[in-house]
Amino acid sequence: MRIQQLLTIVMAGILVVFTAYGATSEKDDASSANEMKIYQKSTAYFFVPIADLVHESSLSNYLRAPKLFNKFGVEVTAAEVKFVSHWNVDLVLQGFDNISNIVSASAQDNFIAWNPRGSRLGLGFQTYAWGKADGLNPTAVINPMDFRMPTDLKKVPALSASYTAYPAPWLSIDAVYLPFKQESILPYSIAEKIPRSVFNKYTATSLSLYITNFDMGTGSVGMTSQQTLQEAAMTNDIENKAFAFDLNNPVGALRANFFFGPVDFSFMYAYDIDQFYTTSLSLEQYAALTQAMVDAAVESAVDDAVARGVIPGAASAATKAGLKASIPKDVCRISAIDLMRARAHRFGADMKTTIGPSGVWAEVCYSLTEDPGNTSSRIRNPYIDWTIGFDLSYGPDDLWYINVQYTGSFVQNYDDRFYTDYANGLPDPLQASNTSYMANYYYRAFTQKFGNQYEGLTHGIVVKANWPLFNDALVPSIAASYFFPMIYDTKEKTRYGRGIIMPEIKWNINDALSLSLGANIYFAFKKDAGSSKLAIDRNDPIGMFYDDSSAYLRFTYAWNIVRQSE
Amino acid sequence: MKTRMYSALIASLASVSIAFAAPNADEIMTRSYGLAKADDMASTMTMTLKQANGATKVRKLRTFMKKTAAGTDSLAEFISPADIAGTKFLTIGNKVEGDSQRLYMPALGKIRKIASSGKGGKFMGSELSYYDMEEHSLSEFKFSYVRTNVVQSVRNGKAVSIPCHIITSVPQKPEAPYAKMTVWVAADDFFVYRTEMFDKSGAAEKTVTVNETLTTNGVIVAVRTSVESVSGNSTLIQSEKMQLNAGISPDIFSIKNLEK
Repeated sequence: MRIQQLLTIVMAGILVVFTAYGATSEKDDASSANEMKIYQKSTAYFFVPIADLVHESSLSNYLRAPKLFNKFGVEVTAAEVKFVSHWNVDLVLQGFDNISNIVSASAQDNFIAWNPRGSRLGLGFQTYAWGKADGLNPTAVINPMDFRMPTDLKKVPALSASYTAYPAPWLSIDAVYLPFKQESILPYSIAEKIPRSVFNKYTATSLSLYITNFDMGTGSVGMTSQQTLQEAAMTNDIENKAFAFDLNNPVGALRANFFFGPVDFSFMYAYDIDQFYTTSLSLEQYAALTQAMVDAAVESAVDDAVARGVIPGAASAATKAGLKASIPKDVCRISAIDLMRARAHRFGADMKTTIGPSGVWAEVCYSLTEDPGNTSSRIRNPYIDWTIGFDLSYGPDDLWYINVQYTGSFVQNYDDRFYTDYANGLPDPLQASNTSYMANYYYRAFTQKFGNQYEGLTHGIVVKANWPLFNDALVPSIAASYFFPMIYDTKEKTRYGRGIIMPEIKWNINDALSLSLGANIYFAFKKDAGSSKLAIDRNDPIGMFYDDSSAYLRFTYAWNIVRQSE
Repeated sequence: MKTRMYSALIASLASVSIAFAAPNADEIMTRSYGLAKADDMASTMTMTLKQANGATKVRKLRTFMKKTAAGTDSLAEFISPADIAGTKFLTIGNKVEGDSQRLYMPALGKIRKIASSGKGGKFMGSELSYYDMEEHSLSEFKFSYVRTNVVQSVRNGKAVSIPCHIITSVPQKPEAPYAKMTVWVAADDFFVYRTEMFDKSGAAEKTVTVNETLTTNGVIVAVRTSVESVSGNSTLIQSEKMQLNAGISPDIFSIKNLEK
């Protein structure tokens, strides 16, 4: 993030709003007093691994490292103008070789908003809360996400201009413009996910062939080969086409919200940029075998086969000539990978109502990824995400709370035949020099994987509940999720779902200070093809965190000051 | 979750009157309900929640209330503590279709339509129930005269002893969380200075006492109120910066203001 530009915006906001705050404004009613709010919240985490005590040091891992998150904020309201500046200063005890791994300061919401009658205009780094579901919001597409803590996903404020019109008490219309789309923060380096071997050159230093059979009718031979390969490490040429501050990739979104007595609902459209990657590959052919090496190996193998009686002597010359010509000498390798983020159109809707004592909601979003070249294996397929849920207060004095959500996702034309078409996930060696074949192989291997599409259909259930005790002094709670995958490549493995279990007990020492003891338990199970053993699936989007499953102790301290001027 | 503004309670409590000379329970309550009320009201409220073990929590909030043709709109915004500061409750009153309530959570930047909870549920951890916060009509109760007694309170800054009629009020609606209430109605201004609530089994549950009132333009409002539960917990409610009939804009009670 270009801090100079950010500070320019912040300073301009401070100048405008403090000037307005100091000015005398005419009060039109009892609520129009000028106001300043200052707040600070600090959260300290200490983790103890519970899944794998010896896997790796907690101090080398973001999730398990001790942390101190600090949030600071000031909000100034002067008549119709509001200025908001929120900052995070985080201390994460990991990666001691680089101070930037340990201490980081990041701008959060930093914007100025003008609230004239019947409308609102916002400018700056803003967070948008679209969607009526509880945390699982398919329509919340505007902000990039911080995925580093799977149990606490956060939105990254987006530099944007927003306008909301309130033409009627039952209607509001939102318009949002982002000059560019910032990147989401992933819990891993995408470059490290790409095996270095796909770039390297492998050349044979020796080759021997052994002919096992010969077809008199067609002249074709069956044979095995042995070669000694020399690996030449090539440049790991991965370019992340990040376009923060690239004004050629704007994002726009519109939403119409309807507020009626029995039900609230909204419709949205976003001209968006995909937050996950689409790979663009450059392939290069190179000579893995020399013609002389092939010629020598063929001569030796055919002569051996003739001596063993596998090939008639009369067919020797023709067989040699045929084999020398047909054995591929060149193979394809990936010379460069560009990680792109493609244009996507989003169409969404949501609703919230109440039935008796329950709140009930539904939310859905269809994402249409553009495919201008009709190259479906190279572009993430369109998909639809949905959430349906309810919550309920119950028990003594209605103090206990439960929240249940069913969520799912469907990917159109999900490719679940990769391991059917490529035995053991490997390309046909005889096609190794076929650029078109190899390009298709690599795109099918990469596009869905790096596009965060792990299956064609997902069903998920998420439950949260808490039971405050002793006048809210002690709050036991649990949150648990389970996602069951369907439509995926069963030739690779059989999957038995993934999820997170988060039990916690919180002691509210006073209004400002709390102490929590809890656990984050990640899991994903699979059976590999041909195996009957149930195992942890570390290639799963949640299973990858299995070794980070931890018990934790969390301290939270918060204070705020509100000052009003008459 | 559901909430009602405390200002609704104030309006409700301020609406009791009787004729002392003629101790007829229905007549006393009719006069009390007929007391002048504000068309709109704004105040800053401090709720001090004390537990039997001595632990104390303080909640500070701004409240707005306005009468409309359809019902009573209200808005409450929490100022402190920090973890709930900025939380807003909006109620759009509708006597015919039922009130519509929405909650704004600043941490999520999100508005939620919220469901009605049980009438006995506590309002933001206080000793007041949602039922206590609602406006009720005379027809919801059967009244009977008990006796007279004196309550100590502060009127317009002066400590006074106030002779009161004590009326037994029995709720007629089954969703009411009480078997009965005894209401202390001032003999002179017909304002309710004390209400004792008894649970469904008939056992004493809590007592609401108005410790201080202020009369502005003929409207009596509670400035300081205590709610003491038999469990030993108590809630003290102090209103400040009260503005009656200040011409509060209806825009306050809008989705826009929740998101502002």
